[in-house]
Amino acid sequence: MSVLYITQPDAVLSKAYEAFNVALKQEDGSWKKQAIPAQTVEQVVLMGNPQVTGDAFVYALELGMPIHYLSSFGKYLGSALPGQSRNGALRLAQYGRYHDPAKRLDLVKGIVMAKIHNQYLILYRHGQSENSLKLHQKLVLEQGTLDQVRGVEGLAARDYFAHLGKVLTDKFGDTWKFEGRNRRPPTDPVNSLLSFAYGLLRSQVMAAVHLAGLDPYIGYLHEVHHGQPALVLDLMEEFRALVADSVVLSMLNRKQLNPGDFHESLGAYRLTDGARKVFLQGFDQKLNDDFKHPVFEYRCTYRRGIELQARLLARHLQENVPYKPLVLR
Amino acid sequence: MTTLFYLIIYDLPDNKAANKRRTRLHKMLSGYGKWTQYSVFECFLTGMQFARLQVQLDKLVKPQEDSVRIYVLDAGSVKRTLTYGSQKPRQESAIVL
Repeated sequence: MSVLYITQPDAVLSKAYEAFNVALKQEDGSWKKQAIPAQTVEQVVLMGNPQVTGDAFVYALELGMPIHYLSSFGKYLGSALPGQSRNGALRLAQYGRYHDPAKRLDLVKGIVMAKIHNQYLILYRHGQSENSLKLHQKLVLEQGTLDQVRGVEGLAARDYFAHLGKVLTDKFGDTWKFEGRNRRPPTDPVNSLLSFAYGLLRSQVMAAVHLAGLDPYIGYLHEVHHGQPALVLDLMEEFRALVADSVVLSMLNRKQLNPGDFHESLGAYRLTDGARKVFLQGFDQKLNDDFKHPVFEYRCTYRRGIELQARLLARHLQENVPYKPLVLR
Repeated sequence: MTTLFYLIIYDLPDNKAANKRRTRLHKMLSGYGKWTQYSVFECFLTGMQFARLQVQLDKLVKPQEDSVRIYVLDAGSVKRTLTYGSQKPRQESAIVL
């Protein structure tokens, strides 16, 4: 079973008897047609706004194939779900896990340990290997309740951001000041970049959660309260350092952004329009970078990696496949 | 879900009715797998998908005139497949266009 992604905005997906036909516009203005074995496709993901003919749309739904619409940047817009969606059983499994303290704690520990590991990795890559993160990571295992795990996570995060500040001072002196994480509003440029990157990452994970058919509002590490997509925030933890923090650091490193790119209003720092475009491109590039997935052992992009994690979680909840959060070496 | 590799080969005579059937057969098989040679399709299908294909083939093919051969191979045989001048059959998990 495969997933069909169409990322070209002026592509047309149509139906030809049993198959799909995708017409892709070539550089010279002609159209290249390609047949897709529709019967073996599991779902269609459209990015940007490619056209789907009514025929193809109905055929997809008849085959039990959901069609997901994402914006060209990957923000989840909505989907057309077939009548016989398997959503129900999966969601029941998701809710069941929420009410199962022991298993839930195990899952949360895994996520937090992966997060701390990845934070350590980022610091290590930037020459700050002397820190207490490894100790915190070990400490997570010994905790007996959810709140204790959250406490250790908080401590680890504080240490991590303190060391991140050191990385920035070592490299740039006073150009990029960072004295710990703050938000709503971010009161310095680096925090503002981090917030922006987390926001972008969040939309990616949100899309992945929807694609996997999970309920974004029921999570395990993050508490469930109104309007907080707890599961999205849970899944995001393992990617924060790997994707968002690393993209911010590397863009500062390459001097793609400079302090003049920010303007301040009411104590909040924001990116100017031009710089925001530069940042978006950088972020997009990062998502298209590939790495070797430690579980599946093939190369995939971070964008796909996020989705794989969501699907893995879904399978973990339903079929008890072990869930391994993404950690890189 | 486990899939098996189905190698589908067809040979239809050259007359007006059969030509029409061949075109239709080609279009049908395009929906199930990859067209690798003029009258060869390679499909990775689950049992249910293959059953659906079989029903459709039964309706279309005329056994007195046409010849359609389907070989079913498991993962081991697919792995040991040799190819010259084209790529080995591979099940794609994502098609990105």
